[in-house]
Amino acid sequence: MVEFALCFPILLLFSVSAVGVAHAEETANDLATVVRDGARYASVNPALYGVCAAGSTTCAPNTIQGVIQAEANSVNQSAGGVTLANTNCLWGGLPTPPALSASPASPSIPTNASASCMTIAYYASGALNTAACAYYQPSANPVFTNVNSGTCTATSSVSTPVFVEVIVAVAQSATGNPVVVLLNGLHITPLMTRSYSMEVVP
Amino acid sequence: MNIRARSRSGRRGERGQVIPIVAMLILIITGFAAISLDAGMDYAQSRSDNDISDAAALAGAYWVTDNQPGSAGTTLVGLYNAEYNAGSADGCNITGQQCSTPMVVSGTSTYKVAEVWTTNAFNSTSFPTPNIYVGSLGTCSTSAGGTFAVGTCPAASAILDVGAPVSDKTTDYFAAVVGGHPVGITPNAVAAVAGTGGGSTSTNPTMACEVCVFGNVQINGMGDELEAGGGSIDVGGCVWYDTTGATVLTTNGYGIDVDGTSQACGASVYMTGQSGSPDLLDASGSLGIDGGLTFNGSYSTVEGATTTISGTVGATWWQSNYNVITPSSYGTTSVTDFTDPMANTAVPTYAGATTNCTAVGIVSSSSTTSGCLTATGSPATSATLASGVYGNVTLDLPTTVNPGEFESLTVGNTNETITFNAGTYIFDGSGIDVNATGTTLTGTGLTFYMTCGSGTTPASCGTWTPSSTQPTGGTCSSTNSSGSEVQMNGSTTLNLGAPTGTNPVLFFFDRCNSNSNAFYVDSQGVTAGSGYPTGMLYAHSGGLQINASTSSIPSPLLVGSIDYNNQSIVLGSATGSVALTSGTSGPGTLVN
Repeated sequence: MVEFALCFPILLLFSVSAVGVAHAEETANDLATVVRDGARYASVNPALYGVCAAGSTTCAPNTIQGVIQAEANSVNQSAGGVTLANTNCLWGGLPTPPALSASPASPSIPTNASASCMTIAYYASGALNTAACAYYQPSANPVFTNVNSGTCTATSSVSTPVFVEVIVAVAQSATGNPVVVLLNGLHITPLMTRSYSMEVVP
Repeated sequence: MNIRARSRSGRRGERGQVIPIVAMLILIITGFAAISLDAGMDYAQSRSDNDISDAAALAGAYWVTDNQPGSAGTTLVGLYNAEYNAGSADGCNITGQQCSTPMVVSGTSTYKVAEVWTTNAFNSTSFPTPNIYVGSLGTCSTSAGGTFAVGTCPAASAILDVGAPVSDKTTDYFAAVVGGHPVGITPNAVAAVAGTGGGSTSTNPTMACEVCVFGNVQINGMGDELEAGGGSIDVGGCVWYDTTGATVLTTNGYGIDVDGTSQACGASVYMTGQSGSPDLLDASGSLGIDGGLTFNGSYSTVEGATTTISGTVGATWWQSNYNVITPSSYGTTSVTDFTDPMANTAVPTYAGATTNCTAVGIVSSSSTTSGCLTATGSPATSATLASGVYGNVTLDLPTTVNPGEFESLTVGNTNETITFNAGTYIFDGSGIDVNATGTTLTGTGLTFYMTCGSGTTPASCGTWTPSSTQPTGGTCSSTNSSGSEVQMNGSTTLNLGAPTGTNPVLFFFDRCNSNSNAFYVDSQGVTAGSGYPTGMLYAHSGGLQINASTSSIPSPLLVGSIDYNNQSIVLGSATGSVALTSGTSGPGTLVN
């Protein structure tokens, strides 16, 4: 009995950890799928960032952000899907996207948003470390904001081939995930970030 | 020793035996866990590498589409860089990583290559060997390890498929501890340069709206339909269902916006359906109506994935007459305004010959070679018109026409083929009139500019000033309702193609040409060969009069108004405009 009592917590920790890691990995894979499909949609429909209230999780299905949300909601339906808010991620406290990177640094999620955010950024070149030239800002009237003037546009007549990078970040929900509960108890908030890039079809 | 004592002694002897068993089990379990973690991470890495290969192949296909036609024997470094950058942006080719795309050829060659097929190799089920490899300097070879040279590169227009092989290795953590070796991951996506839905040099523009109407849509025939599946339907006026059984619909997630507030229609959408023949307004995406909705009948349906209607919904008793709005909890906010996406596009110009060709009138079997006219045969069986400035010309023979200025061009005999050589054709009189059945109009690289003027002097029909005005995107100082028009008064085949370029226009009507019959199709209709027509029909202030079903109207369709004048007319296609039907939403399509 004593040996079992000693071993059981260890085995239990193994089992629970395996479930937690698997769940986290599943979410990561889900987000990879979401950003891949979102980037593909945004690359062929660069001007379809639609009217949708900031923070909404149910944007119209024919908009870039709506496609991303619908994809996120469907990839893991057995677990209720991943809910994504129409909220810009913050990079150093600002919505200005980072330079093009295969693994952008983790953004911060605005405190007034649900536990997720997304960045849809455009670049005048597909070369690494290229500074963003524009990004979408969610609002009642969506704003395509140029951060390097004159370098790219999201209209249907893009004069310069550009790249689009879709980045989503989700703070792992503590619900039903013992590992996350444990990490939260240790005041370590897991944040899942995935990005994917595509050349824009002018 | 009694039995109890022996028993205690035996138990003491067995104590501790579980500890080595548990220790071994933990080792075994840990080993399995390590294998599982390695396998899981390897699988995730292979998924990522497949994505990278997909993105890189599509980037290569996009580049090929955007850079056609190109010339054989010139560098394809752009194709290579497009794939390389796409791979880098998603995690390959970064210093210190073992992932690379396009692939580093194993063996003695140091070239990295992208793959190119110039044959229809992927019609077969097997994975064919590429016939061209592209190195990092844009040079080409017919084998991966061969001699790379610019001269062996094909023209971009000859490239049918591009491949982006990725070379990567697994990053094994626990396996490496026990001497395991990384496993190669070598996905190889191939994208076809086959789509027709975009690209800066595509002949088929991609616009937000597939049907943009800056004024009203009047549907007069029972069973008439307006369809779009490659973009939205945006109407800056009113949609009048002046009949029963009429349909306006979009598919593929595209929406419908109707804003007739500036037109004083009474209601932006007016439906008159009846039981057994209801009207339908059906948006696959969002549906927005500004300016009210009137049901002057019963059983009609207004629906969208989301629906907003600002203004009054009536008339009296519409609900009890079984009319339906879906979703029933529709919003009441205004829809997003739109403007003419072509409002700032320059009008076509013609800098061709100025030779006076007004002596050419009727081209017939009795014509002889003279001046701008070259007749073949005696009696003449065909003719050619040189570039020049013409008056009113009637073609009673199969004729090849060169770019120029015309007051009018009339096709007078049946079953003629009129071939237009590439260039801009300016009309300043009555315009094009196909006045015979069985006519085929053919040619590519064409723009027909339908403007106003006097005699052979083309002039703008009014001064256009672009602005942010909704939905027109600008204003005319004056309009001319007698501007040049296109009349299709026979069973006409439109094998016509616009030039390549951004948002190519096949028929460009002067923005202030307010001819209500700007583009007229009679009851015999128009058809088109496969892939035709390409380029848009742009008649900002002009009207489209339609009397027969057709999906062969140039698309996108940007017109001032649409009038249906017959029954059971289907205009457009639910699977996209004719130009988009056989294509995709982008120029690259993954085929492997």
